[in-house]
Amino acid sequence: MKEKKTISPLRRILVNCTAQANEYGACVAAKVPEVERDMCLKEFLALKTCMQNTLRGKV
Amino acid sequence: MRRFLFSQTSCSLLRRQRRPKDIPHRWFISSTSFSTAEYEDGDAFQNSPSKVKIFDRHLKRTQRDRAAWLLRPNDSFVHAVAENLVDRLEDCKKTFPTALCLGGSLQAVRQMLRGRGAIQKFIMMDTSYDMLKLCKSSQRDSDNENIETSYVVGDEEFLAIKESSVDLVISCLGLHWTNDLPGAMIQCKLALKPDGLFLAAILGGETLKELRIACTVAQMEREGGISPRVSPLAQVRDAGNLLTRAGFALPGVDVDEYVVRYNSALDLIEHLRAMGETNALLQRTNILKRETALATAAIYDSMFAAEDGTIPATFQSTLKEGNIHDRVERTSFSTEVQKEGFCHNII
Repeated sequence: MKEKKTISPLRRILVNCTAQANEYGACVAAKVPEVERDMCLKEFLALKTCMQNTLRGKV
Repeated sequence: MRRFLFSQTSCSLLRRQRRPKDIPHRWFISSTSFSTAEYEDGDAFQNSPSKVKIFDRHLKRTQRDRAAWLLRPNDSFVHAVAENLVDRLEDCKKTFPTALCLGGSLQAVRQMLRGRGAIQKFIMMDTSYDMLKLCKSSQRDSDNENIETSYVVGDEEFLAIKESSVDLVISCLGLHWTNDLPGAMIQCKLALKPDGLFLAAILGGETLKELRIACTVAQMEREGGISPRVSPLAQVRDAGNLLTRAGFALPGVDVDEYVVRYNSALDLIEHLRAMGETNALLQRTNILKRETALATAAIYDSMFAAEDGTIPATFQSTLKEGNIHDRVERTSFSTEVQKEGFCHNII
């Protein structure tokens, strides 16, 4: 059993990068059901940089 | 050597090869012919000739071992389903001295039982040894101490129960991971005495549809292709056919839809992991890229979030019941329900 609550990295990312995640999610949700590869690339790259910053140590 | 009934599913296998990117969530085994075959030794647990394999049973056993450690003792969803299932016992005036509990959430069934059905001997069967150990250790805490319980490690597809020896077979959320659901049900029928009752709750076709959609969309957008992430689940309309094909009289099907709210998609996955319901498809890819997971969580939130920020997840539990002979006395209410036909759904 877990005794201390370890926060998984993905959870930390989602907490830190809520704004970017919302933008990316809104972009995809608007285009469903015609989904193509990399159609929301710009928003996803913003999310990805935020993720990398979070993992590197909370820049 | 034991004889088992197999079902030939060559037509569905061909379909699977022609469309590799098809998500098999609407596809269920609807085979047409039976054949008896000699059961051969070897990897008895999974390799049987001419049998379709959708799920990786070894992995499922490992996942259930893990779930035995992760599952909280008062999980509300599992208890709600078990309560609903055990409630059906009160519809019959009959008593069930011997009962067999197959996989799924054994502990919840036993906790919810509370003397209904007048069960005296309880056989608990699961593929995972750890899960049974957990049940055994919690037996002292529960108030069902008058019931003589025995624990068997076994597979639902290869029932090691003598024919016509149990009065009641209960399975709460256990049978949707069997490779051969019709075969498992037929074996249950063989194990039941005349006038025996078969009660099962499995997850139905609408379960986790939000997760399925979010996974597909995210993977399409990030990677350009899809791999199956949610297992194929029996549609409600097939449940009645399954019961009659297994040979049960008085089949009854009920559908319950539970919408469970989570704070985030990660909580949903953790809950699934704690219940032992994570992906065990043979066709799965072991790779989940971090970007895809992130994209899935973001899309799930944006597409399905409620106003208070929680996300819903649908679980559709299909309750199936069948009798061996219709000499069972039932209360007048449930007789009316049964007479409306085996595909009667109460939503």
